[in-house]
Amino acid sequence: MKTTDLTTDIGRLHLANPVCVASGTFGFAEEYAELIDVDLLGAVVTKGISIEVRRGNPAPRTAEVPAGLLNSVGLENPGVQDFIGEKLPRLSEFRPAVIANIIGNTIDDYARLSGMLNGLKGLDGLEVNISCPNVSQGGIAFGTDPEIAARVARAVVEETSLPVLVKLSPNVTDIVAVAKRVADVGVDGLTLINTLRAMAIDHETGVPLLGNVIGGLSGPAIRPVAVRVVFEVTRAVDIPVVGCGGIMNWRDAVEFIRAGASAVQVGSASFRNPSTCIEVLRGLEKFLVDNEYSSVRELVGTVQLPE
Amino acid sequence: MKPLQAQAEVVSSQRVAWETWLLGLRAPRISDQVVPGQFVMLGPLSPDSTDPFLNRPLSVHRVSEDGILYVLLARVGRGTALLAKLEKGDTLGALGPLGRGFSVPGATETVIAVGGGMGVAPLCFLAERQASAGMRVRLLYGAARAEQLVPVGEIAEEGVEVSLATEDGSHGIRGTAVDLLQAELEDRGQDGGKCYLAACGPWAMLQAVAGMTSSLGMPSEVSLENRMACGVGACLGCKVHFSTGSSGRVCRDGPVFDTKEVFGP
Repeated sequence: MKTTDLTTDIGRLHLANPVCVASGTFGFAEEYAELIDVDLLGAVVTKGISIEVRRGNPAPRTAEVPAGLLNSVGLENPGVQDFIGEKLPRLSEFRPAVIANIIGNTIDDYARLSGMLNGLKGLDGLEVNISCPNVSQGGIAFGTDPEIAARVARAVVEETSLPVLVKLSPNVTDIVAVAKRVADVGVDGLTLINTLRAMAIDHETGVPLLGNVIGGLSGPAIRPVAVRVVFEVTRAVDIPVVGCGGIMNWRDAVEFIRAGASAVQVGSASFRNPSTCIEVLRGLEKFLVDNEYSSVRELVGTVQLPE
Repeated sequence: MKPLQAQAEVVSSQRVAWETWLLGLRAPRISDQVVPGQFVMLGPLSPDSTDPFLNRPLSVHRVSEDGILYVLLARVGRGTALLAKLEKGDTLGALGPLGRGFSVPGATETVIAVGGGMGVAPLCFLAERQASAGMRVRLLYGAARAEQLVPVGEIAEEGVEVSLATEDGSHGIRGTAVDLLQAELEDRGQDGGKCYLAACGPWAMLQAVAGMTSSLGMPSEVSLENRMACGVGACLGCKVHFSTGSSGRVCRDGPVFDTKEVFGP
């Protein structure tokens, strides 16, 4: 049987294959380990971790919309001490790279958190979340201004020896400008994209479907936006990009990789089919073999533009 | 007992009450394992369909002797409307069994199951199992009006003693499941210790039930409902912070919780 090389590098982060699971959609992996073989994945990105315990937003926290999902979970998480003491030791027993998604209220929070997570056994990288639409402080506030985004990224890079990804928000006028400034401070890669700010209202009652009124839209509804962002950003920066947004199957993953992504994250699709990430991996591998790509790297950026 | 993903085959779909369907599914590896109080996520309807995007959590209502898993489906929105259209021979995804079911204490002699509206769904499964295990089982079941009452004749034949209430008095007593419980507890006197109570229904009903059982020292559990995205504990969409200071994911830490954890002692 013909084979293909599935390994990929996001800067200093080496992945056995390009199929990862997105922050907030896979818990701390143990929730899905009963259902699928987590060891097959390239990386697991954790739920967003903050220094303090966070309770999250009021109910309802999720609402279904056409071809997608609104959420306003609000970064509920057990805090960094619980992550280090309880979650990480269990997570690190799985084979994939473990990437901690980190969130702060201030630039100093991001720096402190990065320092606390530095040098821990079993942790392979950080994903800096400056793009969550569901919290009033931190998150997206840092991701919409190129200068502030770069300052957050630099603060993290200075406090850790781990590879650093920065997850950017599509809720900006010019994401390329943000991406360029963040790429300049020496991060290993970018994750594109987080959810789009969105809202839905019950037409009968007039009540918003989310308790937090506004939330983040994910799922196939946002895929064309994400593909466009990956395409535009990878043509403007020299660092690798992890594509994320509405991937439902291997064809969607191929689309992101052709747009320029070096790896992909499966997100909300895991909720409807926990095996999505495994099916994406199998399908991608078959596509590469069938089309005689010797490695996934050969497929990156192979979008065929009109003359 | 690990949950698993399966393709379920629809073996029957029957409208059993107002806007309510009883769906029979062949999903043997799930129906073999499921215990009362647990649920299944139904969907996707086909691998690439995005309508609906998410699966729907449904309590297991019954498992027949030939292994057919039944769920009660209320048509309340787009997703449940699509499920209600399923016909015999259709297939769809099914994930389960999920969540924590009822834990009836070993010394229990009598089970009192209190169901309001669709809350009766998991209680029928519990009632049937406990009755066949030799316990005395009372099902106190209320709905708004007669046409909303789901037929429970089959479990009555298994020995479950059923009392019905409707808010408009069109069937059974005029009142609610809470009124039935009030009368039941007055009849029983103070032998709460040997009773176990399970309740499922609207929040206000559960709260009222909690108030009545705590003073009797009767062990009791409530089954909660919430919107869910994943059903396995990953998304935290259904996490509830109780007034007691405790909290839990309805899908994984529940849906069945000790009443004291939710409402306090």
